[in-house]
Parts: sequence; C-alpha cells; structure tokens
Amino acid sequence: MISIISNRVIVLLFTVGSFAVLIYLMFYVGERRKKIFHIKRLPPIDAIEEAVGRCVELGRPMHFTPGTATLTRMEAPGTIAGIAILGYVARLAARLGVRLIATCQMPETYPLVRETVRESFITEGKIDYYNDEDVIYMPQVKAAAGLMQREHVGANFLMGGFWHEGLVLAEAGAIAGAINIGGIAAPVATIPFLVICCDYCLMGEELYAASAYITKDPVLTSTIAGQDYIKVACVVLILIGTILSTMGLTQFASLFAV
Amino acid sequence: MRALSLRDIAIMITFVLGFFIIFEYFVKWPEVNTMASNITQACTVIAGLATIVGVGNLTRIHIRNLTRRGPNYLHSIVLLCAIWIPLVIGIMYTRKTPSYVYLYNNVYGPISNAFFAVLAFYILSGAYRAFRARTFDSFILMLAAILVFLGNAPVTGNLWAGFDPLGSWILNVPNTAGYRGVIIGTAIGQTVLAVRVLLGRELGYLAQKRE
Repeated sequence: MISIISNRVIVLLFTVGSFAVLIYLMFYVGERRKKIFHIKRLPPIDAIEEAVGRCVELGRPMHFTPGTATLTRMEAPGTIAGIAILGYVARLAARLGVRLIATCQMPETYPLVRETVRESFITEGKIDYYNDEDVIYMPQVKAAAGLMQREHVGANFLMGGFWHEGLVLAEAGAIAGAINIGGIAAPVATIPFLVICCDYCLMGEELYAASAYITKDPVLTSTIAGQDYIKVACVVLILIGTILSTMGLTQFASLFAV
Repeated sequence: MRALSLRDIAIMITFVLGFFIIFEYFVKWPEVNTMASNITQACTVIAGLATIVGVGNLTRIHIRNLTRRGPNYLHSIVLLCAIWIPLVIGIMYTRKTPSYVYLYNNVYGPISNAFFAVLAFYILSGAYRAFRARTFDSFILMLAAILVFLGNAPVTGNLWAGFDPLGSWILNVPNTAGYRGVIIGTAIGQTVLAVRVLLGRELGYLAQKRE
C-alpha cells in the first residue's frame, strides 16, 4: 500500500513549491533572459585572482583541497561546490602558469579533482603543463600541511567540508606564508575554524553561490534569486510560527515537525 | 541526432536517482524504500572502491620518487610500507590477526593521537591571530570568547558568580540564534544546488563547464 508519510506532507509541499519556483526562474526567467539578476560581491572569490597573481609574482605554487567530507553524506554539496571552484582556480593556474598542487583527503573526490584540473588545463590549451603527480590522494591532512610548508605555497584554497582538519590546513597555510581562502558550509559547527584562520572565507550558502558568481550564467544566478525568495518564505513562516507559539497555538509549528 | 556523451549519461543517472531518492523520503512504499536503501548502499560501495584509485595514485607517485631518488625518497619508503604492510596483513589474515592489531595499536594509534594533539597548538595560534581587536567585529568576537572562557573556567566562579550564567547565555542565546540562521541558509543553499545538479545545470562536479 502506497502512502505519503503523514508528518512529511507539509515538508513535501514546501519542497515541491521551492522546486517549482527554482525551475520557473531557471527555465523561464534565466534561460529566456527575462531578467538578469546580479549577485552581491563575494570578496573571497575576487581574492582568488589576486592570490593566483601573488603566486606568479613570488614564483610559488598554490594548494587546493576540496575538504575531508565524503560524497555520500550531507556535506557532499559543499564538496561539489568546492570542486566547481577548483575548475576556476585551475583555469587561472593554467592561464598564468602557476603550479597547482591539489590534495584530496577522501578517495572518491580524487578522480573528480584530477579530471577537473586536467580538463581546466585542456580548456586553457596548456595540457603540457599539467602534471598528474600534483593531484595527490592524501588521506592525512598533516601530510598535506607538511607538503604546503615544504613547497612554500603562496596561496592555499580550502573549499568544501571540513571538520578539525580545516584548522590544521589553514594554520599550515598561514605558517607557510600563504594567503588562505576558505569556503565551508557544512558541518556548520566547524565554520568558525575557517572563518578565524582564513584571510577570506565563503561562509554557508555563499559557497554554493560561488559557481553562479564565477560563471555569471543567468540560469545559475536566477537560482540564487530563487534562494532568496525561499529564504523570505522561511522567515515569514518562522515569524508566524513564533507569534502563534507565543500565543500558545503550537499546532502551526508542529506541522513542520518531521 | 546527436549521440549520447558520457556527460549526458552521468546527468541522466543523477536526475533519475536523485529524484527517486527524494520521492522515497516522502512515501511509505516498502518496495521503493528497500530499493532506495539498496541504491544508497551501492553508492557507498562505489565511493569505497575509489580508495583503490587513491591508493594506486599514492603508490605510483612514491614508487616513482623512490626510483628517481627524488627529494625525501626515504619518506616514500616509510609511506609505502605504512600503506602496504597493514593492507597485505589485513587482507591475508583479517583485521583480527595479532600482527595487524599490534600494528594498529602500537603504530597507527600513537601516531594518530600525537597528530591529533598537535591540534591544540593550531587552535592556540589560530585563536591568537583571530582574537586581535583590529575591527569592531573582531572586538565583539574577542569579548564573547573571553566571557565564555571565563564562564567555563572553574576558578572564575570564586571571583564572580555571574561569569557562568553570562557565558551560558552567550552560548545559548546569541550563538544559537546565529547558528540556526546559518543552518537555515545552508539548507536552502543545498536545496538550490541540488536542483541545479539534478537538472544538469551545475556541471562543476563533472569537470566541465556548461556549454
């Protein structure tokens, strides 16, 4: 017998509504260029070019890691967003002739990272400069920290999901004299680690918006606008729930309990 | 008619499986629930298989470094031994065998603990750089941190009984409010990214830009 789980009906409606708004914005507004949305400045993304330029001036390599989160858990979107940023960093590295060392702490991200870096070098027509040995599976972050200090990296990019390892990598970058540019959305409890240790940090949803910001693709930027609409809806629901719960009417809030 | 590329197939698989897993979350349908559970397990197994690729990469890089007598080639010998000796023993005699347990308890365990202990120094140096009151925001951060430190330190209770409730209030009220705001924003951001990935508009993870 097929049935919808009763306490998930409201969440289902909210999810369907959110998807409908996003699909409308992507395929009607964004795809047909009905309206071009602009994303606010993200200083960490603007700083990426500056950091790569610094590596060119100093003649130092740079380091990138997509984090220590797996692709099979809830932190996976952060890793996916991090790998999208890696594509941008690798293209800049190829264009400006900077050595890019990418370390992967999780095995399943290794093939993605290697292909992303290789494709970026191909896109820039610099496949001769691509070194397969600079993309390394390195399960222990301390090894990556040691590598950064031995190679005197000029920039250190930490984009993805991190636990305590983010602190180790960011501090190792700072000790090596690198510009630290971080990006973390989940786990939320470890966001402060990167925020305090990095010179620039994409926090929370900014990490997911990064690829839209980099590509300026109207379809992607329209989804960021959709994100704001959904956020407004959430705030309205929270306010209604707070007011009703304060008045002793808890039925509304309990509708959203999963 | 254009032939399907590997990228198209990957997008199709992502679309079908992604929406199937979302659908399964909302329905009570034993066959569908079982199938979704199997798919999730299969994904974990596939991700686990990537370890072979990772170990292969490390082995290749360090064997090449060893044969070339490259920089720190002695470290490469240590690394290759650290990977392959426990792996071979574990596969041949299972993880319960005394030699494997000995290696784990007397080599991996202490080294791992020692590395983890280093974290304290990283926290200290990170905190030193973060808690400098260069701007008003960093001053607020520093002040909040000091009050939480004082609230948690047992000795400060003798100086002033208010440190503990003040530290707890900072953690439970402003900190939790900010924390929940970030969680809500992150969750919505994840939803939006999921829609982009499922509909094949976010291709960064496939190492390709959208055409």
